[in-house]
Amino acid sequence: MDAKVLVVDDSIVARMSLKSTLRDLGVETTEARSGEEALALIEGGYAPDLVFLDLTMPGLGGIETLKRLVASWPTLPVIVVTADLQERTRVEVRGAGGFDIVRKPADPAIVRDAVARALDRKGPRGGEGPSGGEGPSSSERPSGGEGPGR
Amino acid sequence: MSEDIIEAFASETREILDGMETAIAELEAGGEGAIDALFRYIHTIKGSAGIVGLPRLEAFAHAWETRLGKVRQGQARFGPSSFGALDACRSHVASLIDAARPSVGAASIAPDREATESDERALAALDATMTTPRVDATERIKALREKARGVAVAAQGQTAVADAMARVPASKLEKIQGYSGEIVVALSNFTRSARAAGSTGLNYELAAIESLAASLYRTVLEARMIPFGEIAGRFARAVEEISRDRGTKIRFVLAGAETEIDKSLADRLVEPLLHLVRNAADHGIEKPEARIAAGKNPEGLIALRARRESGSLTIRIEDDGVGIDPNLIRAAAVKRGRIGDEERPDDGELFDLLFEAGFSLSAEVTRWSGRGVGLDVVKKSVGAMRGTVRIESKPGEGSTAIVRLPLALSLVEGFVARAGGLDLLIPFDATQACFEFAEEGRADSPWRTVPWTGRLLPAIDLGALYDEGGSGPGGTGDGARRVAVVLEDSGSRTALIVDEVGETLSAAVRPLDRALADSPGIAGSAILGDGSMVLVLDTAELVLMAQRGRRSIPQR
Repeated sequence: MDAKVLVVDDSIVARMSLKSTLRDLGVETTEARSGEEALALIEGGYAPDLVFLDLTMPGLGGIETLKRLVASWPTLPVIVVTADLQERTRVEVRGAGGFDIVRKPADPAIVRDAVARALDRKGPRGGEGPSGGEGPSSSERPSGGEGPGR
Repeated sequence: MSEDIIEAFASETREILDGMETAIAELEAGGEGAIDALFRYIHTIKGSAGIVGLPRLEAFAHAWETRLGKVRQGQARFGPSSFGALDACRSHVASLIDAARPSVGAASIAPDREATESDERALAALDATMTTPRVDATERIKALREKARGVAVAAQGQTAVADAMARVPASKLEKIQGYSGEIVVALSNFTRSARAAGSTGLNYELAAIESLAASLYRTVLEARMIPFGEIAGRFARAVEEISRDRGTKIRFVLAGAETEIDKSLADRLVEPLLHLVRNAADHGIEKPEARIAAGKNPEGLIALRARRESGSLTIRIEDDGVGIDPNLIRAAAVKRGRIGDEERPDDGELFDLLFEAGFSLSAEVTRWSGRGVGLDVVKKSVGAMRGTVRIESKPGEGSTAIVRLPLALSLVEGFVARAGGLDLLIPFDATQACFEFAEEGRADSPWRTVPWTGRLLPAIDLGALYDEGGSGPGGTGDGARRVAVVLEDSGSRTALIVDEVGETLSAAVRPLDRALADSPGIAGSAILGDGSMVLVLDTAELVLMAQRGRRSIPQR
């Protein structure tokens, strides 16, 4: 898959592990150590196609960061990563606008599936990424095998 | 690449373990916000443990995290022993990391039974220290009442619109305070020099700046204050623990929660006050049967009262328990050779002996106190804040421990006085009256009496006490005109005799220099607007000294 993914987590071990899984999928990854850093990166011009966001972080925190991402860039899918998959958490994340939740430590197959579905969501319009109107990755993506049926 | 992750894991968890230690210490010190940080640390370890293939650590972290989650949601509470147990869990995590050999993607090996048991033991130890808050109607009503009272108090002193808060590091506040204090002094030096040089033109402007500087200083002082109630939460919990432990019934009352004290003072007060409160709960309050037999209410009372007076903060820990028999103290002191058999110290001096190291009356050493190493540490801690602590007691009726701290950073309003060559400031709030009189005979000893409204008041001649080689306009001989200032403290009246009194003013009290720290009856010093220094009197201490007619039993 051809895409740019932003991994946000305060734990270096978690970032390294997810990065390694994503690299195996051929995806280009960038890291942020906190919600604040992630927001600053995107505001500064970095345009990911997808964000993996850890829920428990000091400072701004996962849910708050999620809300801000969704408010500022509504078409940017955010997949929340958390070690706790309680129903209450799912509901909260969905309500805040999260695209999906993945359990930590992330099973590579589940990550691949989540990434594919998230990118697919953007597919048909040829990309309205964070920088507005750009989104080279989506339009260059081979369309074979990733139809709306997913 | 897996090497990298394992290395990152090792270094990350080391940092986290350090962070946990700090968070636990913060929690113990009453910083309830630290629980979020601790929760996150454990959560992160849980996640990372899963990633690098340490299922046993992952499970332990999950179980530990669950307990913390309950506390965060108010379904459970930490007790005083919880912090030790938390730290033990932290060490357990460290040992699990050391013992294991993390490898990314390793198949999970079922941990052996002995290992699981040691994990469970660490968690059980923590559970044993935690309590479930009673949630019954009376508790809720009490909580609501407290809240209502808090709102009423807050509404009294502030504007209708709630104030937005800003977090400022205490060290920064201290710096700002230092600068503003220096501005006041520099300004008064400038004013003096300007006047000495004959300049009169800028008076108006100078006065305006002086007024601003004084306001700035006062505002900064106020910014460092926090309400006493903020540190008082632990005391109620401690009383609850001990009463449950001992099978007694104790009601805990806090008065003066809104009394403002300097933040740095507040932090250092917690330990000594906690010890005194524990003492009252452990040794003071008798079991219900004993209390009924003594004609008392089966439920004992421990009251913690904070009040500001005369530029000092007074905290009283009162209990209506068994009290302390001074005769027992005397007997123990004689037995240990601390005082001679023929000596007759008064009750106050006997109670002071309790604060000497190794002096303990308690036959049983309980979990909480009575080891004889407590009260001397309390006295030292309080002394380090330039405060004093003493005990009053009536056998059978109860005891009161009184901690007094000079509010070194408070503004005091009072009037200037001169005695014995020293410039003094006498705070208003203890002063009742002031009158002139003529000496009859020479004024020699500091300890004397003075007639007032048909009574003889115990008095201290500050001229004789401080005798720095100076005297009032009338000298000290027969017929010399002196001024007596009548003080009132907790119902007792005494008088201070000085040479003359002067203007009234307000000044910021600062702590004393090491060299002067032991001066009797001095609370601190203050710099006046013109740069001169006065010594601020500790009126409560002086009242005590006047009544005893001396300071204390001389140290051996």
